[in-house]
Amino acid sequence: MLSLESETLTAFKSKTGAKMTAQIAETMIYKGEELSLCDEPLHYYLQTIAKDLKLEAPSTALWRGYVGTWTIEDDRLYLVKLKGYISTDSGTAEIELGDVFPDYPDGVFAHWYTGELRCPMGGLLEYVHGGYASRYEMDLFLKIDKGVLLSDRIVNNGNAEPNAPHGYRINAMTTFGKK
Amino acid sequence: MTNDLWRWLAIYYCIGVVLVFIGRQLVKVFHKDNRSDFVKSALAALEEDKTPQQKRREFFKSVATGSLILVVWPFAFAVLINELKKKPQAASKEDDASKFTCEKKDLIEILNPLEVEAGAKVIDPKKRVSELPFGHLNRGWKNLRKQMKPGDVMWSFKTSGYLPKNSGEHKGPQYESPRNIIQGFALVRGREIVGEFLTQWD
Repeated sequence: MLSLESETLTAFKSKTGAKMTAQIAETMIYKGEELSLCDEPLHYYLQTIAKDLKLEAPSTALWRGYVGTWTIEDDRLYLVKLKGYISTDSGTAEIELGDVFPDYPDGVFAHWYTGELRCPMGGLLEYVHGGYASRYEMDLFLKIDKGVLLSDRIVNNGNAEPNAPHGYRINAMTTFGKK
Repeated sequence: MTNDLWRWLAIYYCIGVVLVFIGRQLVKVFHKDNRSDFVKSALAALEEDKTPQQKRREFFKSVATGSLILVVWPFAFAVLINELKKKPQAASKEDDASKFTCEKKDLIEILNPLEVEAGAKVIDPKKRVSELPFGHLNRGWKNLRKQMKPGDVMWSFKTSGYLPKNSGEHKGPQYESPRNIIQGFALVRGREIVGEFLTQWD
């Protein structure tokens, strides 16, 4: 799903001239298919409730310091997996879902989320090396209210070139050395 | 006459060099680098990524700026002293303003905390949520209640978010509704927001 063309030590300049890096997407499992999720439903949880967790970016492509796997089961949004990086006295350590939600290591109902989730699909139309700004042939939008799926819709953004790469991708990143 | 001019210019620049040096030391004393080791290492990594051309450009920029400062050092020194004087106050104001997501304009209605708590149970058929009020967010609610003092008022709030522009040349994602809408409860003391608890976001 996620293809890394090259893990170079080069940070590219975006079209605007600002230096930034495309971000690794979250994972969404929807109707049995594994998709990239270009939204961060856990963001404010980590900013407020779990703010003591000192997440650390392992690379410029993952400034948020974690990747979550989400799923829609019985029309409900669950966070089922998490891989994060925290800084400890002895260096960088990896954390899992159980470290953030100790009583729910196998899955968490995301009742805090209200909004639209975007999962890009199909061929690449335009690569933008910043955030989740790259454009793909289609966007699947999942409308969620308090963790409950209300509706889904697909927006067609156009047709990619026949040789265009498929699937969410990041072309370059800077990896930080482990302490 | 010419000699006098050169002598005065030399004195002017010498004083400039000394004062710029003192200014640098003052900046070091008053503006300690509070960035974490991680942030420093990240910036260092980005620095390494710069092309020789970018590095050369930055070097020439530094030389040009340094020369300009030496020429107009009385003005530069006055600006520096002024900045050093007002910096702590400005920084603390900024910190206070950025402390909360909720602003006064986002407040909706006054609520009774007991009623709020009574209606805050989250139900999940798969039992993947705590039965405490506000489920997984219970800790945040408890923190807000702990902060509450006699006379404080609890308000509900909702930020207005923003609607991504999708007209003209912009071809961003076609979201139907505004983004970054955050809901929750805020604690108001006097006329100031002194605490908040976020319950819904995108």
